[in-house]
Amino acid sequence: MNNLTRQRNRSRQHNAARLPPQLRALLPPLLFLTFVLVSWQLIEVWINIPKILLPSPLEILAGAFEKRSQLASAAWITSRAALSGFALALLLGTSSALVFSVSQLARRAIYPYMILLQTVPIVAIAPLVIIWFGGGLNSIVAIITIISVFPIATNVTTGLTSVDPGLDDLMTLYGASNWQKLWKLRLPTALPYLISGARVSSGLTIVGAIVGEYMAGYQSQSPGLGYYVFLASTNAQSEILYASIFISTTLGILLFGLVTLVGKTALARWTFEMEQ
Amino acid sequence: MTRGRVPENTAKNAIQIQDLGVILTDTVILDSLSLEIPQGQWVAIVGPSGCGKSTLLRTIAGLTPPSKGTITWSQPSSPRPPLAFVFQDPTLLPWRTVHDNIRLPLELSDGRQSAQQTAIAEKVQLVGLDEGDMNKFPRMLSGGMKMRVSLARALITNPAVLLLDEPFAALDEILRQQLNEDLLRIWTTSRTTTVMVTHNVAEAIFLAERILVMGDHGQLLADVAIPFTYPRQRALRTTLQFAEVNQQISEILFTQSRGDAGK
Repeated sequence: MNNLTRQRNRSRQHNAARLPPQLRALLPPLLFLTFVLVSWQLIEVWINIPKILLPSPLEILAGAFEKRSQLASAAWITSRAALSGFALALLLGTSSALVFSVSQLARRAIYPYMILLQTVPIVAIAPLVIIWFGGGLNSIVAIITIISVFPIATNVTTGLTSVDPGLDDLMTLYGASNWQKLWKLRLPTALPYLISGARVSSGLTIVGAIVGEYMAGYQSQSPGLGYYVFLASTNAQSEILYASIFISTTLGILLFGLVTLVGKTALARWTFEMEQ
Repeated sequence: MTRGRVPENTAKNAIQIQDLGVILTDTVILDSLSLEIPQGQWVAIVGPSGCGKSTLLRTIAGLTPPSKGTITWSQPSSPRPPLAFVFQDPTLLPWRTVHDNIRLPLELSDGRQSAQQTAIAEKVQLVGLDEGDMNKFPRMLSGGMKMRVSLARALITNPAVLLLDEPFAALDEILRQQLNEDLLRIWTTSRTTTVMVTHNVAEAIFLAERILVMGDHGQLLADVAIPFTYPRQRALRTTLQFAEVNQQISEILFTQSRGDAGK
């Protein structure tokens, strides 16, 4: 080994040690994923499991590549529905939380049901939603909104009602109106709660989108990933089924990452750190 | 915050309290307390925990409603003159910078923007903060600095009455003494009517010109005039006379607590 190579190696090691901590934290799960994918591929080669039961990673990749334009369009359709439902959930969740924070009667009367409603399985509600809104985008967005509104509503309600009493006294002392208290104290206090609710919801929106499209996507002009899951399972195209699962999972992770990033930026001035 | 017939506040009293009672969740906190605080006086209230001294301060501030009695002010122009309250915690809004925290009372009252900038800079300097601290967030400040910001915020409205509820209780002794001296320096120039609640008898003697010793349910056990003139220096704390006053007040407090223990 000449001097130059040695130097290069040393600087490479140096660079690895200097990776940002976030990237360094990503290394072990990425290594594990690679290990699983390689083992999966090797097992397929050795045991030769029928494709319909379990396609190999390379077969899934090949199937996805073949249908790349349809899958890309489906991913876009699903993302659009998920984002619309998410935006609606943010709007509805925050406004209902505002009502709950203002009216104790409304909170006492309705809030318990909101918590109870979270436990009703979305798959059971979906057919009802389809009856009300018909097949297609409206129902899909409604299902996404229903599944993702509760974490936002409950979190923001908690945030708006858990204002530091000392700060509330301070505002009262200086004659703050209810509107000033809301704008200058309650909403900023609730922001971290809103973001933590939105992070939970962001994962749920993709679940809602897939369930919605699975059950109501048949009437859409351009089908989303959920409809591909439905089609692929009835047509026994397991590689497309797997590809759809991977893509929708990735969408979920991306949306979660986006909300986390927006949250971290918005909360940069707050004292506390967000949970993992 | 007056109830019933409002008696005339004739003397040069900033605050006149008559027959004040406060009942919170069926517990009598204050029972028939009467008190006069002259304009420009610094009064310290000492007493055992739970005697109602903080409640008295909150009631004066309008944060706790009285169940009976009246509080009258020398300036009956509005419901009450501009007050400022410094709490035991700095109570800073964590999402606001030092500058914006100090500006809060102005924003809430009338939002006059013009004179604010110089007023804020002036108060920042007055409480011993640097101009460079203006854009810092509370989490970047030490406990002592947070308290200074809290003090600057209280002073920004040029209040007629300053209420201090154990403002330095959470600080270490050296920092506490430093802040005491700074506060005293500020007060000596403004002579704002000040009511302070504290557990620390030495602090009360060093700062105030009058000490009220409070027993259960706001019963006034003693009203002690402090015989030291302003300005007061740190060396005052080590004089014999200071120690004597300290002993006199501590004696009243101990007698009271011994009496309680024997009940």
